Amino acid sequence: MNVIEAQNVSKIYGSTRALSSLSLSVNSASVYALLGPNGSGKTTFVKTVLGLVRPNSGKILINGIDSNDPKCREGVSYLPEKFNFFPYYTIDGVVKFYGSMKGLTGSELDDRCHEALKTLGIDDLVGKKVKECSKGQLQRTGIASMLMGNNNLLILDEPFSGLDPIAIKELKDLLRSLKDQGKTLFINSHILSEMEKLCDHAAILNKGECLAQGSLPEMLNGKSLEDFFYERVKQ
Amino acid sequence: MMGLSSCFKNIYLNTIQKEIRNKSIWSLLIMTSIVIIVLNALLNFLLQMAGEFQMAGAGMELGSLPLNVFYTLIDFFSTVIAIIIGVNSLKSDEENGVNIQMLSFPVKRWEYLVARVLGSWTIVVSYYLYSIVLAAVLFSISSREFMMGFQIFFGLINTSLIILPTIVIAIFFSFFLPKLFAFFFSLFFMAFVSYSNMTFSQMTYDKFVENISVMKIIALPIHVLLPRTGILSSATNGVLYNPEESIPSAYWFNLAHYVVAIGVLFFIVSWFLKRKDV
Repeated sequence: MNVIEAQNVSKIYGSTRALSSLSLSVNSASVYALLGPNGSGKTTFVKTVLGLVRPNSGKILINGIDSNDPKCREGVSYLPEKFNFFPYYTIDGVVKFYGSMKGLTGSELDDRCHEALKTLGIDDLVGKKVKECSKGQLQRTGIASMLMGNNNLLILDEPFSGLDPIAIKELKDLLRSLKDQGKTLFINSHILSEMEKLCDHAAILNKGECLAQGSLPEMLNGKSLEDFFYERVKQ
Repeated sequence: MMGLSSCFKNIYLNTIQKEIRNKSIWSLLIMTSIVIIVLNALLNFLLQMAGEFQMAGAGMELGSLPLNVFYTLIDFFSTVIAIIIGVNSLKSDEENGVNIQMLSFPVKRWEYLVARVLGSWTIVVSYYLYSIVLAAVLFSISSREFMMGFQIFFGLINTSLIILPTIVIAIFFSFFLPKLFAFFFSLFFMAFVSYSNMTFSQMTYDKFVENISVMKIIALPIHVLLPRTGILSSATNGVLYNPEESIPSAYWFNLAHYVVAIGVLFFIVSWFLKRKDV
């Protein structure tokens, strides 16, 4: 079953065409990477999927529900490109807020929060305020928040941004374990080396146009992702 | 399965947590308290000096003057706070990149708007309640008269109603203008709403046509389409100044108009929010 189904999605900002008739399908329990240079339209596409941006034309379905219907976002978690929250919130406060937005309460909320903070290795930062956090700590908080609630589709926009090599390795392991649990991961990234090891499907986007898409081994046909990407984008 | 109500409740509570940290509101609250205490002492001193006497021409007792002064002051500050919070309400979400996260939850945009508006409204009504109770208690002590009567309750209801469209209008302007501009524009606009209401509340069609002007042409749709906050405010003043007088029948018509107009206002602002890319 397709978790995300986008059909001919176009978005124009003024005179800039951010997305040009983009169509793609994301299978359940897969890791799908949307790759592209900066400004290629990756974030616009994610925002369109989440109903944050209205496409000029085309249609997006999440689990068969139109993306304009907020119900489609039940069971969806989103990590924005630059995770941030109100500066006076504590790290655990942010994670708990996400949990409560997902309907968790009481001891279940506390336990899940503790578990998520521990998974991300930030349980020692409980009580630390958002305004006092480094970029990497904030990013980990965002990922911990994303783990709250039982979500089957995780959408991550540049998840490795701001993370040190240790955190990148830990995040990759975490994403793999989430995939093993049957979750669907949709990841926007321009860090090809990390994505090559992680994803099983990919699409390459440049200037809003989809240059290639499909199963990664079939698409690459023996080439490295970096070479394939460079070849397509520079064409 | 998570319910939409959990999102609504959390956004509502988050609004209160967010706005309670607003330094401008605390400054205004402290300022209001100081002004009320100082004014009460000053007016008490003047009352003792002058004694109770009828103010010629004004048609009211000097004894009721402090409460009216306090009411006007608190009413004005409530409007200012409502605009500050209204402008900040969605704009600060945008500034902190929180709007993207909030709207990625299964919450409808109108629910997000209503939760933010109600959270803001709760803060402003709390400010109003605190100020009016402080003023009434101080005045009751100094005048040895119990001032927590019907007029205070009537004022609370009306001010609560006035605050709601003020917040929604401030939010609307914050969609298009930077914070400071949105604040002053909202303040000016609410003053113009009052002017429109005062102009047309007593005016017949013949009088309108007779003395037609550009200002009146602009003011008419505002009077017809928006909640008549100016009339609600003037009804409160009427009851405060003359507690013996009954509520005018036109008040009930304007209250019914308010219900429809606030619905339309929410619908329009929500429509704009729905079409906004975040």
